[in-house]
Amino acid sequence: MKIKSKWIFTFLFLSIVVCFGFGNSIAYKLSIGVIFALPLVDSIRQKQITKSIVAAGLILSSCYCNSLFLSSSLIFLFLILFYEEPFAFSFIASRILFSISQYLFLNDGIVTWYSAYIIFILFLFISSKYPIFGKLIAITYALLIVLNSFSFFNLPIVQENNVVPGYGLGNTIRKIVKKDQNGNAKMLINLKHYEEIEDDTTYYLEHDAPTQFTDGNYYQKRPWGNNIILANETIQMAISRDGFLISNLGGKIRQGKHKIFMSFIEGFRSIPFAILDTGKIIMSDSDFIADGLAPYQANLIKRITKTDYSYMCFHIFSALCILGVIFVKHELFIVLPILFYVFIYLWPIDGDVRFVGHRRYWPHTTLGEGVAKSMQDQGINAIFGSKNTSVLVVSTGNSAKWKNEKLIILEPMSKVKIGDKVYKSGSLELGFNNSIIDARDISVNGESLGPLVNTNGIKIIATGSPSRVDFRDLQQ
Amino acid sequence: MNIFLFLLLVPSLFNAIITEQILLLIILAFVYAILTFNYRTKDKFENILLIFVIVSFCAWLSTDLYFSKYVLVFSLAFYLNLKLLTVLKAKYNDCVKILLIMLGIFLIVQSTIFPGVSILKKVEKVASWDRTEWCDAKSYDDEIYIKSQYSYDILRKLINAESITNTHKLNEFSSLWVLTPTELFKSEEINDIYKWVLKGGKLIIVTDHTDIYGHARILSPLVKKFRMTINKDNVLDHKNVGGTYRLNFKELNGLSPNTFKGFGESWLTTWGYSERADYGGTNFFSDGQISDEENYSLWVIGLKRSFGLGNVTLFGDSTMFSNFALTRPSSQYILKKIFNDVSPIPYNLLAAISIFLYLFLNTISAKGKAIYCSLIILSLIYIILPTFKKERSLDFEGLKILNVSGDWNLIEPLSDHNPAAFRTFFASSYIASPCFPVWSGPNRKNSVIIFSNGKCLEGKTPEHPHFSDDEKLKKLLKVQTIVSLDDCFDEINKYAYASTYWFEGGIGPLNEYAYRLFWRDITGSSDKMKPYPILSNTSNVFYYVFTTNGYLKVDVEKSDIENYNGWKLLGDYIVAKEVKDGNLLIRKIWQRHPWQYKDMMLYKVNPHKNNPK
Repeated sequence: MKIKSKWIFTFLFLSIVVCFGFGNSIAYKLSIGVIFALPLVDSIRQKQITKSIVAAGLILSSCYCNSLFLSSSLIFLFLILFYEEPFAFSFIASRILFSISQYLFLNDGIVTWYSAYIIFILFLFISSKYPIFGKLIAITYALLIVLNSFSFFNLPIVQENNVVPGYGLGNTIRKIVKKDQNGNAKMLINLKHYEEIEDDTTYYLEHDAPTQFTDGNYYQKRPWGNNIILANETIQMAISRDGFLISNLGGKIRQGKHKIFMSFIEGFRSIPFAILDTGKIIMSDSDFIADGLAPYQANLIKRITKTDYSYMCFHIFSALCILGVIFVKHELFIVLPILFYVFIYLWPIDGDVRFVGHRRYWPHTTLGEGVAKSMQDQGINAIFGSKNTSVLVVSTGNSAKWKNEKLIILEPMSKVKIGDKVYKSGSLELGFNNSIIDARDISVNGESLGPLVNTNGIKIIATGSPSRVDFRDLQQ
Repeated sequence: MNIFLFLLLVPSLFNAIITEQILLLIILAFVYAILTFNYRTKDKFENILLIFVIVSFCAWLSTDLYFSKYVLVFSLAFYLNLKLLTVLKAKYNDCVKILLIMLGIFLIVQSTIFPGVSILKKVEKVASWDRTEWCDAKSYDDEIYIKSQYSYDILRKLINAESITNTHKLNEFSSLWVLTPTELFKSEEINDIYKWVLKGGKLIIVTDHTDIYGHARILSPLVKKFRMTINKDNVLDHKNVGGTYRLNFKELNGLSPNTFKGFGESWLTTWGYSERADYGGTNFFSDGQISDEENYSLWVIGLKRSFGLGNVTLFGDSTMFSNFALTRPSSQYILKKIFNDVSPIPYNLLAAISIFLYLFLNTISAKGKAIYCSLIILSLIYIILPTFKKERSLDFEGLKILNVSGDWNLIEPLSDHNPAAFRTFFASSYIASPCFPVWSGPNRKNSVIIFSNGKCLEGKTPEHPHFSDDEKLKKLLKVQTIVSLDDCFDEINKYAYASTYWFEGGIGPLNEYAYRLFWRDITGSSDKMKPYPILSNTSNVFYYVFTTNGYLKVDVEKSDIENYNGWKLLGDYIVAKEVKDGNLLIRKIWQRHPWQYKDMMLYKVNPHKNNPK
């Protein structure tokens, strides 16, 4: 009775995980939380210290690095170590579909969550009776991850004249990936006539672009962070590191047979976002690579262009762990990839703007997260980073240490430590003050200094709207 | 372990942090249901709780679930309480009983429907705090424009409030309404109000979205005294239209509220996305877009708590009580409820009952059972008591009223599929109608509005009026008059169906006259009617209009509107007003639908020549 209840409980929550929470990340994460928590509770009750530590470690690291929630290989490793084997094998079988969809012409009606669920149920029976099939599937998946992490395409620059800063395509990508992008590209938007899509070209579609591949427009439902994008785990994890896929209104790719790279979940259907056809790459929106928004999609851009070398190593390493755990069940096979991931996640990266806070990098805001977009819109090519940055933004309630930045922007009730002094920003709204919109007061040891402080060549601004700062003036 | 212990912790949810209380209740009840269904033993119960704590913790850290931190706090508190209670019960059974009794009595006293014994005068006398630049209560009879629209003149009449600007005579009043103040309270005034509430005064504080004009900051020291907080935000609903408010089990149509948290019981809630105040934006609104920046939740927009012998009621949408919005049935419903000391769902009393029931079932002695039984009956009486309370009616003495019943959706839709055919007419009624419409209901079914004088409106939206103008500005201004003024009013009436209820900056004489005609037909009265517009002095005049190619000279057919000083009619019923130097101002809001241009100015003299730069 006891085992049966646990099995049903696991099956129900794992089913939601297999179906990607039906496209809702909250449902997905809650279910995966339960899957992670059940063995933890059991191991605490049974006083199995190693298992408890491993399970707790996975939970905590997944909370800290949200993208771990979407690592199918880690979930597989966890399932095989803490649950019954059929659960693990059938789970990984359900993920194969999304790993091969970019290599095979498949109908987009097939590449969707319910197909994954059918495979899951099917393999639950097969792997219970014939475990060898399960093992073969796991080996296949491990090989596919390696293949996925090596596969890439370029995001070529579109030369457009008369484009206002922030709306160009290419300059920010070049800065993020640190190398030139080869190939031809076209952006299609607001076409008055039908346009034939050619070979050997990357197409960035936008709204109102009739082609042989499009069928109207597509609008991604908000909030974007709640949507799960269907793709292989390397892409899903990259999107999760960014927080969401930036795509507002784009061309809707026609339903049919494609090599599907990424797609949205809409009820029972999947709507392709990026497809690879013979000699063509078609993306239904260009927002995520536009100069103003690309700083917020850096992880996905790096993944698509295969320039996230450390994460590639992680995927290969986790593939090796899958192969290892099939033969020797040891907790180390899950501990090592987690540690590796956390290590590369924390590794500092070069950039221009360092944001200190716990919020998402939502671009269209007047708060601190919007600073990179605001700078791009003002013609300054800036991306987020954590070392060698020139601008530091400290969000409400946070504190940071100065790391040689020239400009520090404090949101209300935040602090920055420069040498021995701690600069604090107040909460009282001062309106337009000292040429600063929505200014706040800065104080050191209780002494008020006004909303703008210049100290040893460092400029400190306190404002409730950091993205409204005129960076061109400050640059001069 | 039984359900009474579970319910014992419910009040701590509602008293500690009010936000998302109902959701928490559902989640915890769901967990409990799982437990009672599958796991009967204590160990399994604790296991599930532990899972719940861990999952909440995950969700909290991952910052994806705004609720989760509360879920975590409460499930953890629940878990620890359970542990503690088990230990205490084993060792000090009597102490636990006494603690539980004390907790139960505390909950009864804390309940917002606890009647209390006011030491103030028994006479119901209402005061309104009038030290504010925003909520003026002047009477506007001349024109429909933003200032008259946002006046709280009718509200003050309906609650029969006496204006006060200090606390000297506060003890003479039983209720004090504070609407969005823009002048700071002195600390003595805050203390006076605090003491007055302790003595039995009823304080009603009405706020609005995004700390507009800084009113939330001004009110903060006062509400903090009662352990309540006004959040400086604005709730957006799914469709970005006026949110759906929930008053106990009734759905009401709202506008843009702010939220509250703190001690007390919620009486009005809404699901939606809380958007922060943006002090660089117009009216401190942020972008108005649902995005990852906003938190989705069940928000408390009406909060009430007992304090001393009195109580404090917060409501987060002052616009609902302004002149133009008070004709909405939901506004009137909420106003009546607040005026009659609104009763929230009695969470505290239900929790108290569950404690006494638990003690009752766990007591063997007849004396003990009798005590618990009496306490249960006492709590039940308190729950039932408000239903016997006679509702005070609003004061309509100073107003001529017209009773209205029928489908509320025709005035204020709960979803944007409904066209709300008569919302503009009703929003204009505070000036255009000689009678104030007073709603009965709720009713959202029959698509008909019935007035007490027998008149009836059916909710069928007429076809959208068709206009053939607007091709080119130059052409438009040269068009000869082709329809009569009566035809024009007909078209304006049709336009009212597709219009909004925002009358920013005045609606012009023709629109206003059309609304007055509508209300004259409904009420059968000829009061308040301005003279019928008559055209005179028609002539062709040259003006200069700014276009992308510079200032163009246009030949305009212009007529005066008699009895409407300064108002002109150009060509095919374009309404304009003569302003400084004989120039003509054309505003979008004054025109028939659809006017494809924004506001514009026609200059008597070419401005470019005067100012070559």
